[in-house]
Amino acid sequence: MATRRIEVGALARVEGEGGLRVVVEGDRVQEVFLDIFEPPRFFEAFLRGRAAQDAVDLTARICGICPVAYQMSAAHALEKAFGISPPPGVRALRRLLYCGEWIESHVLHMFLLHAPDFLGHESGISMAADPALRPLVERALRMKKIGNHLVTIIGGREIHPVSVCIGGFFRAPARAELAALVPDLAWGLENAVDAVRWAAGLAYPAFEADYEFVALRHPDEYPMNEGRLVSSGGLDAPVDAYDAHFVEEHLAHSNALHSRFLRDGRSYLVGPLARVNLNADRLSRTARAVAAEIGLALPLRNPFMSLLARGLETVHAFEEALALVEAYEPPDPPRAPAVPRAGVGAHATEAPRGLLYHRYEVDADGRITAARIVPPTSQNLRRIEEDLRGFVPSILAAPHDEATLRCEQLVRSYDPCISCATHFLRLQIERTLPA
Amino acid sequence: MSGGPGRVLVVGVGNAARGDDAAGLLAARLVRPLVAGLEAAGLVAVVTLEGDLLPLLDLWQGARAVVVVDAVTTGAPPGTTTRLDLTAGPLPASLRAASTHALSVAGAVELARALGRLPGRAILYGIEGRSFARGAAVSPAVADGAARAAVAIAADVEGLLTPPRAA
Repeated sequence: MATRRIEVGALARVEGEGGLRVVVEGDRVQEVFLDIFEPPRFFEAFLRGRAAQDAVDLTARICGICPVAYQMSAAHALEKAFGISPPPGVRALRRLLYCGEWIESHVLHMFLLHAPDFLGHESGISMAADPALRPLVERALRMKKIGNHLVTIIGGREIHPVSVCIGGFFRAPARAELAALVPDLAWGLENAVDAVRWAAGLAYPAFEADYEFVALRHPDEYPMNEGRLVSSGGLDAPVDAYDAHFVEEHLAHSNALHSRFLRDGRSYLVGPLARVNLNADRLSRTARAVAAEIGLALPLRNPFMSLLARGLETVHAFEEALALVEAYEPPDPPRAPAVPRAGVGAHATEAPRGLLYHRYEVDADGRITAARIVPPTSQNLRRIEEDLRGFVPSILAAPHDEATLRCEQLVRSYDPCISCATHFLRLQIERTLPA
Repeated sequence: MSGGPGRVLVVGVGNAARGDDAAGLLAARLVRPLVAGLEAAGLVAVVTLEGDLLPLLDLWQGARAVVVVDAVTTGAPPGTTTRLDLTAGPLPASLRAASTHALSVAGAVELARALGRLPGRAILYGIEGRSFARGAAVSPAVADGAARAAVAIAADVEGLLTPPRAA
């Protein structure tokens, strides 16, 4: 057997800490290894012994793209541990903050990181240099900036917000501060709708997988901060029962833990595709209308179409943000007192890239004695490997560069949290050919 | 927090929770006392940025010039500082690749260049890092490099405030 090894530096950033290796013998995929470090593991250790509020501020540092998600899951979990109910108005303001993060994260990923794969460009940079696509990039930057602005007004700064606390917010913005955003949010909604129409016209690689989708589901709302854990396989459980249904395991080839169902060991999918499939009836009115207009047929089982799901969620986020801003009255007081008591609290919220679960044990002084954080990427890792295993045979006939690009495109569909810090993903395909 | 109008903007970029990746943040903090008078006079702004780097494009809008300082890995000894004139031409392709869900400094610079949003003068200082362990402090050699970069940046800032002489 002749072995051909091809290495491609891809998705590069600063240093190499993760990699994708595909081993093919003849026309059979023998191995698929996706190896990604997961920074949260170390946060769990150094949170022990710290004051509970530190979890809200420190876990936000795990990701520069979705710090709000970490703050939300931490605050909700610790409020459960302390038995605290935030004052009226906090709930809506937290949802508004989450809308800002969804807009920022989804727009960045859709237009600058994922779209180039569909448009034959090497990056968002080369798209920007293409006169035909430059308006698209400019529009994306403006949409993203609106999300950043929303987070800045509510969170105090656009990255790693500082206003969220156990019990509510340290400071709630004045009505006028948010009202000034109405024209931008209306513009964003209109352009998000156009973005979905544009996304519907992209050429998606023909690949579908048999996923079990997992997401939160709320009786009245599209899920962000609250809901029950549901799945397309019939799971319906309270969110703090997460550990009774899912387990993480360490695999020899990876420094990251991989999640699976305890029930049958199967993988599952979290993120925009899962949320849209399980909660399409909870999308905003305009998001539902544009979904109908483009003839969206659910469930979406093509992972590449996560771009389309992000587009629908961006419409939803703009529309909901607009409604929340128009109805906004500053919560007074902005927070309930965080009186410590010994306890356990677990909660999950919907980060832009999927379910984010936090569980804390605290002592009577409010010190953290145990912490557990399960990020969405960790939950999707197993599923990404299975997708690649199923997808690679369909591209083996393609030239190596094309096959590589399609593998990267598939990984990018998940918007995995590889680059929260200074990682990069190196793609390696080994082909063992008959002699 | 902005560079303009007409100011020289110094931006330290990095991740405070990742060892030597905080070198750019440290350098920016060390620059501040060196240009305190200029900052008080509104001629210079020194800021730091972690996480998403797309806001760089707005930060430096209207600025007379920008100096970005970040950790780099090129294989040089830790603490080695490199100065690149970003207005001289595109950065090497190896520095420009996008990650799966964020832009690098180089990505933000090249996006700005493509959109015509790069200030007329733009300089990148790279400080060679070695250890990017989570929760670690900046290593001594890299901290020394950040201090040297800060002195060089302060000198650069003065030069950038001086209008170019007519030929």
